[in-house]
Amino acid sequence: MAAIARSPFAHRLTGAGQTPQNENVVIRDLSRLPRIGFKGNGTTKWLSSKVSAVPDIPNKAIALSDGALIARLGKEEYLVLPDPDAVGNVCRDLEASWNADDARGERRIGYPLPRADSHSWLHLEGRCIAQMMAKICGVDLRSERLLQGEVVQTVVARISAVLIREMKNDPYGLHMLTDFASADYLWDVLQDASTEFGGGFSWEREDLK
Amino acid sequence: MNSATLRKGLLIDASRKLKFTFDGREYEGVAGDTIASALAANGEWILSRSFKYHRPRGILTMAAQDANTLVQIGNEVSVFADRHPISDGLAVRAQNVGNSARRDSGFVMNRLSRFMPVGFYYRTFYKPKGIWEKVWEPIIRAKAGLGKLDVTKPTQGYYDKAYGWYDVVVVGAGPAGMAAAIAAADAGASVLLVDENQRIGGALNYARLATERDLVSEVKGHSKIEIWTDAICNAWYADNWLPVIRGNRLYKVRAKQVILATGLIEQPSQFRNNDLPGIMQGSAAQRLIRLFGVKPGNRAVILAANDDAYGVALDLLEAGVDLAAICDLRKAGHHGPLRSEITQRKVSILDGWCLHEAQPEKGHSHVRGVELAEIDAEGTAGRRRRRINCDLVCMSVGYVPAYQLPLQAGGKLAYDDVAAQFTIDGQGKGVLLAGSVDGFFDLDGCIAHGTGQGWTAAINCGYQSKRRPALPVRDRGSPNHPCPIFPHPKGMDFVDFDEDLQVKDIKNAIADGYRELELVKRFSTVGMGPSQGRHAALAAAMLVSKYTNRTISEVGVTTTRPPVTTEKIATLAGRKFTPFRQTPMHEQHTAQGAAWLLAGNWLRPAYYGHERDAKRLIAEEVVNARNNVGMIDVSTLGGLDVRGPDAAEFLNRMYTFAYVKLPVGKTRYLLMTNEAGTVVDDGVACRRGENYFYVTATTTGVDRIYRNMLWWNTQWRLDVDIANVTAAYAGVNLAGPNARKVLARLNHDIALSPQDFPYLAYREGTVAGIPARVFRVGFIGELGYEIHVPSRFASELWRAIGDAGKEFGIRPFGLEAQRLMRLEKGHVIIGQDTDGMTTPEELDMSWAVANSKPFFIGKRSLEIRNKTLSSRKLVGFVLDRMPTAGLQESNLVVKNGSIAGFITSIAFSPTLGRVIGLAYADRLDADLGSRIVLRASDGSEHHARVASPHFYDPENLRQEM
Repeated sequence: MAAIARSPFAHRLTGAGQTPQNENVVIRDLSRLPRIGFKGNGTTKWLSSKVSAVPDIPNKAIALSDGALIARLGKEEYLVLPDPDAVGNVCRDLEASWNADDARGERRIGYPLPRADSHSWLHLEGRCIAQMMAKICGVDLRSERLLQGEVVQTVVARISAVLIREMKNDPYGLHMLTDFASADYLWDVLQDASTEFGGGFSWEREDLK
Repeated sequence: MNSATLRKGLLIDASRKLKFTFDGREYEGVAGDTIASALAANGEWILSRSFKYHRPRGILTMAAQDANTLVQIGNEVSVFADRHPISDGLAVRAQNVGNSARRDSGFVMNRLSRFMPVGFYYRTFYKPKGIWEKVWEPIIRAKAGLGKLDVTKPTQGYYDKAYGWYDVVVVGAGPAGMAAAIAAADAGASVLLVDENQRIGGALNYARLATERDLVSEVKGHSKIEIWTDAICNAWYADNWLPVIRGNRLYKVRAKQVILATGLIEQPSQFRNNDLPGIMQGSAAQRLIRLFGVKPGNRAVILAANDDAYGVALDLLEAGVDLAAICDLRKAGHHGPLRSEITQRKVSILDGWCLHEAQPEKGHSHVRGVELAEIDAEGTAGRRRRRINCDLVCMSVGYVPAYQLPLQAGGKLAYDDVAAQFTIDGQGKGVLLAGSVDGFFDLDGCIAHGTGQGWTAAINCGYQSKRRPALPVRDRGSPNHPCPIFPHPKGMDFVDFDEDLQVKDIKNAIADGYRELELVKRFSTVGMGPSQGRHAALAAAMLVSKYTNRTISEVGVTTTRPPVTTEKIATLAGRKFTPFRQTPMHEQHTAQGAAWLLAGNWLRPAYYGHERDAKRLIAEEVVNARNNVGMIDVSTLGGLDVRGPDAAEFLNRMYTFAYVKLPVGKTRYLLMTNEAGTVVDDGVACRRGENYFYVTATTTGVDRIYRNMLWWNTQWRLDVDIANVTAAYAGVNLAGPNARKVLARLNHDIALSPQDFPYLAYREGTVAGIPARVFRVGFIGELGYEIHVPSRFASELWRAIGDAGKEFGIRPFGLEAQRLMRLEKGHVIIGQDTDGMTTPEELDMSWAVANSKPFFIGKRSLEIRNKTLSSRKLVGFVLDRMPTAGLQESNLVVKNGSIAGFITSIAFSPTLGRVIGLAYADRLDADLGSRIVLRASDGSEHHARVASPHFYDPENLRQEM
């Protein structure tokens, strides 16, 4: 695909960048990174044949050796996120692999989902994430309740969201995927909710490119 | 009554002076003072005026439990003066006063009270006919209410909400609550301890109670206990859902177990002028002394019915108050440990005496003395009297449990007539009571009970713990007098301070036939004021029981409902989440001057330009699209990927048309009916592959349609996958005679000739280098291409089309122009031109129903409904010009004086130069050329001619070119 892709938050990432005043709540926009989903009959079997492992139950995520996350959202539904700090080719490879299998006429291999276009992707990290999320989400996300790799499919500030607790324990980290079209709304919600903790969005000039 | 030398209190820092005003006069207080304590320290005892009679009122509880202390701060009304802290420059005003709390002309109402017996308004204001609206209502409206709210001013402050989760929530941080919290936390539970006061400890902070355990330190030092002070748990809802208000935030707390250690509410006694400033609960005097270092008076009389009263007496003596007498309602022989201490102080104790009357200073500004009476054999004030000068009366005659939360949690209140005590039982699973609210009155018993209940709560949460703590035995005695009510022949013996209700009011309500307490409440309004009967419910029940010859347990108490205490609208409103969605081209629309319109939760351009030119701009957008080329953002259109071997069969069942034989690369109209055969949605099905359909749905309907699809296929178990890809794809509709030329200018790999890409065809390729799904549709009735691309690339597509169309004079058009053009074309909008009964036949869309199919949702119903057609039909109509009165959607179509239908769409068509519309009309009037009558909002009627709804290009030559 052409390299013109834009994050739905792009118009809010302006100026020379922004760094929150502390590390209580740091929100990064990862929407420009690739991500892909697979869903439908046969997905689990097909995906298991392509990656080293998949989560054994829904609402769990595991990390692959390259740092990519495979989150199981349902019996036959998955979300794949690359390691934001070392983006590999897992999404591209899986998409190509699925297209090749489909072209070969293989059936019951599930279907790809355009998660890069349907969902924005934010990464929330810091000491007060769970506390901040308690202002906008009715699910208990405190570290002792939401363990590493656990997935919550819920509502955040009245919009649907997929939340994935990061694998590392400290600092607490959360991936949040929500409706692409609600990005502007979500920006204001998060900015408002994080102000109390001296937190907010973080970006650098390079992110604007 | 200067108490400057005494200002040592648990909550204050006397070294930090603060200045504030009350009713415009400046006062000095200290840090930690409440408004009420600071005023009291300045000798200012009148805080408010009563609701009806404007009688001066002062401190009653010092616990934010009564309406006496409600004041106004800025634009915030009904603030508890005995809870709100002072600050430098704080401006406080009395409520419900003509001038000030000190001088209120409304006090004349006190003299007129005899003309306002209970329920007088039910009998007075309704006659003669019409007088209510003209005379009484304006007067009462002007008089009603407490504070004055300026609704034009925005609420000050930031209010929001948050969730909280705990194993155990303990409400009330008194001795029992603290012990419960410690026991639960020791067993491993995460505990939230909530208390409405500034400081935990409850009565330990102000009453003469002593325990070896330092519960406060234990609680504060416990890692598993979170403490929220100044936090009010204002209700209990199912599944232990607790709204806890803390500052400007409403916490929605969930707990596995709730322990209610809400304690007791001290009750007043009823005697003449029992509402004078200077007459207060014994606990209020103790709070003033211990918490705020305020001497509550110089010479006091105590009305006693329990040993706590003697603790009050000791505190007063230690504070330097001269104790004139203790008047004990009980006969001699009740000797608690505190009374024993008092007897050594040579204080006059009158056993078996009551307060018959309090005598006021001029203007009822304060109590100046009391008349005592010996209680006779009937328990009423006898003839033996004694008068004593005093400026303070403290009442310690009994308590009721703070039963609001326990009862909301399903508890049932019973009354032990012998012990004069309420008991609570039967609250829901997961809710425990601890301490005095459950009838444990001595300190050791409270702590032991709290410990036991905390342990139980932790075990109920699944924690393992050592052996169960021993539960204490309930004290068989109670601190409550069975009936501390001493009616006075001249009245003013208030039962309900909020509503100025006297003993005779309750008596007269019963005499009027309202024998049940719930009826007495509604007739007299007892317990319906801001304090919600905290100090009136028991007295009212006692009176009803007395005058109906029943026991209190037979009379019961009235229902208690949330909220427990006052809460602000701002707290409830909090920060509101109102999601909205934007298309990826939103910024570009803004730059192009879009005026916005909300379609569902999507922000869509209504038109481009200034509002004052809206009509002209919309018309120009229409003309440009009709004669040249226009572009509209259709990203909000629902998009569903339907994939799988059974995809065609699935659509066949979901929609009325047939899709099994639809060739790949073609589109077909979709019409959906529900089980009743009513039209609920429409769209287009694009066949991308044998097993793959890209389906569009209406902007506002797609989420519902998606849910419906999942729901139905859960039953059908077809091999199909449905994905809602609405946000994943953005769309642009490029429409107009020059649309093909513009598309040709874009970098694309799709053959565009009419033969290669005919009307209703579907193609895939790249447009402006972007992977695209392109199909030819004609919603507005012109040559048009709908180009759908992944959302990430949408703004680039919009820019590219705009650039390519420049030489043709392309301009964007908004939703208004689109709606107008589709009306010219006669295309219906589901939801606007349909209602909850519309069938395809009424829309003349039977062509979109494949009756030969064995099944589709609604087929059976349509077969039945089509046998007996409805009396209406959707028709097109025209008018030469818009009537002066204006005609709008939803205006009625009338026939012979009856409603025949209504207008669903109407607009002036710039293309046709006349007013066109769609309306439901009598089926008999559906023939072309018939006349229908449209009734405008002002009642005027206008004749319209029925015409084909396909007003524009009925042969479809333009869209199929």
